[in-house]
Amino acid sequence: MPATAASRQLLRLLQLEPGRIAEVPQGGTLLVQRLAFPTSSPFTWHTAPPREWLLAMRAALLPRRPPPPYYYPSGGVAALSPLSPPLRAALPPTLLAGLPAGCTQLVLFSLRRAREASGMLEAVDLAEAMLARQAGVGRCSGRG
Amino acid sequence: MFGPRVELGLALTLTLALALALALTRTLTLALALTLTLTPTLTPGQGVCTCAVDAQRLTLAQQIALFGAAGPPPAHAAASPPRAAAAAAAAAAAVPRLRALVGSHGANLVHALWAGRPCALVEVVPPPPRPAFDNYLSLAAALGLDYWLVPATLTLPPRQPAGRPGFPGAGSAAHDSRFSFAVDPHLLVRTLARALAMPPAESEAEGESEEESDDLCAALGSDVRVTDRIGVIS
Repeated sequence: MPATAASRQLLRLLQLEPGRIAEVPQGGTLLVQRLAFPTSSPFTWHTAPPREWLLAMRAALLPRRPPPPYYYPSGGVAALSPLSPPLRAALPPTLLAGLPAGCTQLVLFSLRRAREASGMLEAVDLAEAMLARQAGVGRCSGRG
Repeated sequence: MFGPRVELGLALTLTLALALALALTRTLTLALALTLTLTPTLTPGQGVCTCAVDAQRLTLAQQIALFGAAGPPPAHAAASPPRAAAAAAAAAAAVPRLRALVGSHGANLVHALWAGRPCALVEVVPPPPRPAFDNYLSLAAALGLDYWLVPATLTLPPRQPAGRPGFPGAGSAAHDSRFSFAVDPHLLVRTLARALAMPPAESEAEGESEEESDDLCAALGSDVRVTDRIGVIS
């Protein structure tokens, strides 16, 4: 999908090269730092959601993701290192390693082990167990 | 036994009945296909899987791959030879769809940017001193995602005054790593069940009215609107 003028403008603002996003670390933090705060950006989504720009950025960057297969973590909260080179090397070369067979819909708990409170990690662990028991929801970590 | 007219009549009747049955079958099949296509309701638990990830060590491209599983196929597929493109398309089709992204208030929720609809963004929000974080609500609204808010409670007081002068969000627990907070797992599960259109557990079938949600918003001092796309469960 060709990048629109808006997306090119936005990517310039973000100092992002679409073809080099594989080298850009910690995308979420980077985007917040450069987009969310009015002190360093011409707009903020605290007050007015920049819908057009967000969609333009999505359109410009989404096709740049690496091709499948995608690997998901298999160690759960206790071993959070998804897609890191050692874990990737350790995973079998199958599609969606770590996910139960028949998984078509995914719920991702996006955690920050370095910063997340232990209460949050415990709650997620318990919530996964409760979902598995009450509704038969699978877990990719194999802890259930 | 029967005359030619009777046999012809019987044959016509049988043919008509067969055609009618076929038409009915086709109609039913079409209706069933339409129902399956137009109503993406979730059978409780079927095919759903939870996964806890720490995306901070990933590159932007890996984060997009992880959280954007439901988006259009990568451009690499179109640029590849037909056989490779077909294999890539098949692999992409096997990637499960992201139905909900759950996380505490912070940059990790920006990954919702890559999610395809329908998808729920479930934000765990620490309590005041600085309530009304609406940036991820705004993000969800801009992307057309469902937004759910799960209030958390502080568990550890800060050792020193929080925040930095002039920094947006100064004084907030959400932006200060010295704070710690806890989440009620039952509340998290109830919220997820609602977000994924799962029926609540029998013991939790009552309550959860809009008035209660509004009361919770008022108690939080937040101006979160409760609509069919934005919800808070108390």
